Amino acid sequence: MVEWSAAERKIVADVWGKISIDEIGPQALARLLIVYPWTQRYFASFGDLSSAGAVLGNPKVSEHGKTVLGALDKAVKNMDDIKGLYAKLSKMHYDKLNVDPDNFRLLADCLSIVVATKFGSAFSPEVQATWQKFLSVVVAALTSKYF
Amino acid sequence: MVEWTEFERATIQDLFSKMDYDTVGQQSLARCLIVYPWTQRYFGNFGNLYNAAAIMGNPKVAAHGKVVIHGLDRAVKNMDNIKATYAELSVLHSEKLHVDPDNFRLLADCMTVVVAAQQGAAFTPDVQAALQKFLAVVVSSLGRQYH
Repeated sequence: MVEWSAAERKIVADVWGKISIDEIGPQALARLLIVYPWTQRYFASFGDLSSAGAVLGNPKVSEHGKTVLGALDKAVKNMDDIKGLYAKLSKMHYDKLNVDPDNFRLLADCLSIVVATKFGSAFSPEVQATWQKFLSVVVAALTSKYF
Repeated sequence: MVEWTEFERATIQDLFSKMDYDTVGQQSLARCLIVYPWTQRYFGNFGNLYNAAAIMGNPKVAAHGKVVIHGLDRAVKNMDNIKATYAELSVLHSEKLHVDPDNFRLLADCMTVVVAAQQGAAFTPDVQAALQKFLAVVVSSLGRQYH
């Protein structure tokens, strides 16, 4: 099981408490689609993703960004069993959505970048390390049903 | 050969012309050592790297961070031939320093986070994409002479 220190639990809760899902979710997903354009293959039904401007203004991207980030809320509130929590979601991404699990890490990276732009120097090295540990656990949990 | 758009060239020149190398260098290397602690194995003679505070305050980390970031200058000035620019440095890292090339990507990621935190909203998806592309080319060039 993943060990979390009291300080790490507090950092994750603090960061999450200062984030607006509606604002950050769309930004993270948009950056994924812009910075790693092959990820657009999973969103063929989303309409116009032909330029950064189009992606940033796309309402389906925005909606879906909120959905994805909303799902992180459960992990923040259940840090001691993230793997169990995401078992079904992992199976769905594997069986039904056929998502290459490398992409989970890319989205996690984009999320960290968005948080960094918002927090500035408050995204200290310790906060970065803890936040990235949390996201690594989430990514591992989402990959857990692939094998 | 890598193709660069006008926007990408201008963005990279702009970012680096305004960069505070001392701060970005120290922050990037410190974060790498803190967030990915196994990287400390390469710096056995740096003294106290025992915790985040020690790393952040370590003068050898700061000095070396500066050296590494200044190393990027040559790539900024030779964007059309980054591979040749770093051929010798790649041999050095592989044959003399024995650095696992995965670590180049980790340092590049930390540098991206530092720049994102500094720039805030000015670190738009397009700017992020340009910087990450530039760093990916640098990382690839540094890993090139390993095989």
